[in-house]
Amino acid sequence: MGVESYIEVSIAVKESDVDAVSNYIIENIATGLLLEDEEGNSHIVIKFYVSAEVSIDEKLSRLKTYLSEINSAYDDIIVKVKDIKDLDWLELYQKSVQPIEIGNNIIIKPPWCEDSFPGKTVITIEPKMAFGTGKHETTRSCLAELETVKLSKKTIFDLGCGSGILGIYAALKGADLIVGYDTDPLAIENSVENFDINSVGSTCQVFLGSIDDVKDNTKYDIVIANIIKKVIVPIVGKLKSRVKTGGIIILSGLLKQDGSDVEEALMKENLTNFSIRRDGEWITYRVQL
Amino acid sequence: MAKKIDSFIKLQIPAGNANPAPPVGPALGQHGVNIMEFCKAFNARTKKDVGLIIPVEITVFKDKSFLFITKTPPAAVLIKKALGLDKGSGEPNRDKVGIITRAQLEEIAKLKMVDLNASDMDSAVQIIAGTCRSMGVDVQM
Repeated sequence: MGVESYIEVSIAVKESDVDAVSNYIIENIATGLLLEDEEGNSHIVIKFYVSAEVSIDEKLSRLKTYLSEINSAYDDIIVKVKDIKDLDWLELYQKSVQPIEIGNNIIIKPPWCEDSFPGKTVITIEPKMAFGTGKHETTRSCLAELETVKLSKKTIFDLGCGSGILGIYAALKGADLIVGYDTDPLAIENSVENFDINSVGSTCQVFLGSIDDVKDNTKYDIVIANIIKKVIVPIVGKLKSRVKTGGIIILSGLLKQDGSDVEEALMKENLTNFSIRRDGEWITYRVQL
Repeated sequence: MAKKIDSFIKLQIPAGNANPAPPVGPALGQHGVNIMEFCKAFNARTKKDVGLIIPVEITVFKDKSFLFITKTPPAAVLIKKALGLDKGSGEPNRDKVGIITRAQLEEIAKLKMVDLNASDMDSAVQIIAGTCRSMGVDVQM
């Protein structure tokens, strides 16, 4: 993207005038605008941007005339004008996404970060619509839990795989097979992209669907479900049925207050050997079979 | 997993034509949202409406993932469409550009009801009528 200088213009109007004033601005001055609530009252701040190369004095004068016409309360309206110089929004955004360190040895970095991290396991994830930077406490907890497991030659079932980040880590640590499921088509698309970026496509697979869409009876060394309590609690038995004897289940996406319901569900399945990892208000269960 | 909301962003931008220039760039960039990802998704979702301005509300979560919903076109756009107008008036008290009937107002109010802060049809009609007056469209109730 080329770098251009802009002038940011903002005016505060009553909510009932937003549509008409926005329409005037789009018809006469700018092609798009931003609406923000004004602190302390019910007015809405309309912000729009014009190139600094063009004089807008006359257009702003006409805008003031228009505002006076629709409501005499706007006779003395303050039109705030601010220069915004030489900003490359994409570059600024990219600079705002920094590599993050998780556990003792894991780095998550965006694709545009070219730093090297000797001795670390580096996962490359581009923050996307459905999945962010990997900073979510439950992602962090699941990764930290996986970091304590010997993953070489293991098989992993990842329910609610999202960006595929947990499977990617397992693949980078030598797992033989990772099968991910997610009910969100965006997750499937995003996982496939991330498998490619991290060159783990040969060991990672991903499918659209829930636990009920899994038709085979394969058992895995590790079963992960990082979703929400409402989904996890009713399927603890189904998750257990997919784990090999001696394997582990990792349950996350759970808040502290979910603990009693989750533990009740574990007890029903005779899953009594578990530990809890806490991160802020989130909890993650590691269940040993 | 459940996510915590960081912020809401409201924009009005051309369908199928979002790009990293303002207002999208600064609005999303300051909240750490992947600008190109939003532009691609918005343009794909609104490609059938090219030529229209679309209000969009973006919810940004703490982990910088986001979702967005596109709203019904602004009342001003629907008013122009109903009356076959190219533009509203720049001087709405002096320069009138059209006349709208109660029936037309009700049609627009029905379309906008879901996004209006209105308790019933009559108050919705009043809101749309206010926008008409601010565009130089006379209202026949």
